[in-house]
Amino acid sequence: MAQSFVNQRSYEITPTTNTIFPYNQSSYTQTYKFLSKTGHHSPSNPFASYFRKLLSELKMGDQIECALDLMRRLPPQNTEENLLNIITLIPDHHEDLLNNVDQPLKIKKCKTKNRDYLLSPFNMYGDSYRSPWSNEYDPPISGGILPSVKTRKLEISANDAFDTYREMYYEGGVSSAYFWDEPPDGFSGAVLFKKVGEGVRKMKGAWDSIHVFKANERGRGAHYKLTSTVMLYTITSKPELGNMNLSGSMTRQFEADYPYDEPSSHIANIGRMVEDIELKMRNLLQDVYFGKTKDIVNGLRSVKSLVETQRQADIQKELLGKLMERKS
Amino acid sequence: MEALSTEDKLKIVSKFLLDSPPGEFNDVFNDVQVLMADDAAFQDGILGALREYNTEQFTIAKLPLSESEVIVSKFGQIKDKDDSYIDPKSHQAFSFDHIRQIATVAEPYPPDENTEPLRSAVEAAIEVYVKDHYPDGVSTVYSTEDDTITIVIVDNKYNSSNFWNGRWRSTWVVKPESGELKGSLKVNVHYYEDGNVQLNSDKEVEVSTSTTVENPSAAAAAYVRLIGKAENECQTALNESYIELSENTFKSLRRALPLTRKKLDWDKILNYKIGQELANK
Repeated sequence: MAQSFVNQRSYEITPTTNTIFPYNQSSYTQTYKFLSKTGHHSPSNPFASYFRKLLSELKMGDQIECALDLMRRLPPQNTEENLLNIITLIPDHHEDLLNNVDQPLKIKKCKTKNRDYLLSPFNMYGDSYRSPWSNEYDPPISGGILPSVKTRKLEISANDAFDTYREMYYEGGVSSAYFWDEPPDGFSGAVLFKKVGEGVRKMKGAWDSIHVFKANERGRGAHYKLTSTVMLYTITSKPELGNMNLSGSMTRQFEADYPYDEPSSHIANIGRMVEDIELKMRNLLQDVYFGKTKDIVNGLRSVKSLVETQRQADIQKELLGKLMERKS
Repeated sequence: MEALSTEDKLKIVSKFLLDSPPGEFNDVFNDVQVLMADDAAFQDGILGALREYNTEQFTIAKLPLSESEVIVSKFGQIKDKDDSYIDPKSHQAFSFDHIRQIATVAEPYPPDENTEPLRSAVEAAIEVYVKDHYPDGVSTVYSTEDDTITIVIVDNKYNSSNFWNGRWRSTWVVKPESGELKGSLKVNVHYYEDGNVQLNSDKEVEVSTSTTVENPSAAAAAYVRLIGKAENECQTALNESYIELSENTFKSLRRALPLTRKKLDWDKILNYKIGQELANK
């Protein structure tokens, strides 16, 4: 089964209102139309087939939306299994689903360069994956999509730069950058990082970053759109606790304009963007995982006596009242 | 690809339903109905999953003409009667509509006179305890098989407008004769603004008391003291693990800033690499 190379992220994965670009219905429809072009040809009556197509797109749009909504609700601990089950239910949408649902990254060794790289929909063709170090597909495949010479040059320097970045921030782990051409005046890419914790004292963790961007040159500047997802898994167990699994992913989208004078400016621009966003995401994850969900737990049950807490609050209120009385 | 049988489809969507986060059952229900794309087969085949979800997740029912709440659980299921459950507190049996999640007809259901004194004493003590530690807690205390007493507690907090929901469930099975208590505590939290983050935590615990059952209220007080202590210990351990995971696991995955405490100089990184390449030529 040959996988076409469609990497548009056309769906909002999150329900929030504070992302920079809102749900983009039209880009979804375009993606679908693009995909359906490769499908069956329409029969005689052009109008009837037009409406039939419109109807089926609406119906399918519903299914995709429901599938993505479902992925936002089902336990992120089982993302791969859940996605596989959804694809089994609606196999016609497997391409859209694979391109719009982030899964934990897998690691493979580049046989030519003897270096680890990350597997993702961004370097997949059929059942083969392209190594960013050798630019070769493994297992070898004919007709696998390759970046143009110009874009490959950028990809090589991006892989070098993000390798340095990875060492500085992750002190280990694996990084990969994949670029592809977006005619007429741009290119897109994905910058990926994965780090698995060593599991000290029965505590295990894993971090996967997926940054997907689109770059457009506009005269002396360049415009960048970036969708960043970080998947964070943390697991621990001990007798007094039992088992605890705190896992999931968060996604944010960003847009920025940066000056651009030579091709290598792109790498510095994307590098700064990824660096800024990873710091923001790291702070966000820290707040949500270890602050917000903890507060929710302690809102479900209180270690302290609620009756006693209420009594003390009442006494304080009374004292405050008396104090105010005396002042007036 | 071979078309999936209706049975296999139902298997998948049933599993999804059972995995619904707290407070989001209806959303998942709507999603899987669209994915299944066969409303008749869906409605025919989904009841088993709904029943399992409601009883496992301690869905709360309000009896007709009554303000008090009762938990729908397998411990209250009346044998050989489909979807009939007891409310041990009001001594009633009721039918539960698993699709609409509401109790319908209720009728008197007299308690077992032998076990009722201890059961109602535990119920009274548990209600005080739940009020003292669960802001939105609901509990039900059953007389169960082999003269055991089963206590179930649930606390739900739903805040879908801020994209989070949570549920705490406790089950305690008391063997009055030996004074043994077996507890199972489960916590689920879902946070889904800009993502999908879930906490799943579970803990099994066993404790025991030497207090005998001659005096039901003394025995009930002893059970509730043990339950309170065990639940506090578990929650404290959970709070500590939050700190440990944040301080150790999270920090060791990715630094906030490099060792230099400065962000990277991207122009230098590129020049460095280009310089290296030139040197290698």
